[in-house]
Amino acid sequence: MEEKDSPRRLICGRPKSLMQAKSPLCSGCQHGIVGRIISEVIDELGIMGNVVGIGGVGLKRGLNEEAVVFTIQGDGDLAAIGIGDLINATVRGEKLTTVFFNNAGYGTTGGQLAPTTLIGQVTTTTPDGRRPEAGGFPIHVAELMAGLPGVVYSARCAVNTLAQFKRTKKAIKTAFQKQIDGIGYGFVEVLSACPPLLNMRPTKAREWFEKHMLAEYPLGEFKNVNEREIKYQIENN
Amino acid sequence: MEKKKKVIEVEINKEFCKGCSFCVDSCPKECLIMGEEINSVGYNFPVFINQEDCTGCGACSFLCPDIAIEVYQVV
Repeated sequence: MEEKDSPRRLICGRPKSLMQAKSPLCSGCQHGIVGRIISEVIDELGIMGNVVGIGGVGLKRGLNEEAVVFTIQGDGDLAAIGIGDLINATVRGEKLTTVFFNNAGYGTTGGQLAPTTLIGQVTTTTPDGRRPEAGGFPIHVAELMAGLPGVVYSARCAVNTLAQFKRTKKAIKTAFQKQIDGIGYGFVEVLSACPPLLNMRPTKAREWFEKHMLAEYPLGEFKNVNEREIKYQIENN
Repeated sequence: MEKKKKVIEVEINKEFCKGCSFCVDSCPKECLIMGEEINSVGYNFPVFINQEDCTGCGACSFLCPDIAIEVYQVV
């Protein structure tokens, strides 16, 4: 950390709430950038010490009503095995924030086919590319979430350029703010490429991402409302 | 009166770097290049070579997946 009387001023660097440690991710994995964005948002909203982050499998409920609870999930535990829990969390009216890391495959377990894998994409379980007749179709979770009444914010972002980085930060901040204000469930999907899964150099993987991933998954906000919608209500006297 | 030029310093934590070269690609002024040297884990890391043109936009730092870059303005 810099001294106060230092002749230079920090413009950008590691956020305060992010541990000073080496990242465990592979070279060129953009998940680190999303982790940094979440840390920056936590710093800016001043919620450090009152925030609970849940990674991967096993989310049930934030017991402390005051706490800001967010989940970080990948395409395996969110779009495959956990999609029932995800939808039912919104059906129960939970006020959470979910950051969904979509890298079009199972990075952690060795590059198998995920529900979000693109058609034609080569994975370890689809060596000839994903075929619709055998492997099905990629799932668009941000659009799906936008259709649910418990969700008040749903967006899809990327972190391949500085402009997209800023949009992603704004989206995650909006989702957190909606949870803090008690409005409802916020969902942000962040697209990225997994270089080892694609068997490419990081910069090549980013080019692949820009060409194919952005063509399949359109970026943007799909829902941004300030009240949860009740379509019809029976009046009892 | 001529506007005083900002002097920017870019610090790279070479031990955190994994050599993805996203910073080199993202720099609009081509101020960074991948160096020849390697760090203790065997990755090449970038070198800040062009302080003259650097505007301090922070693209290299924001797009670093390993948060290994810090950008300072000399005041």
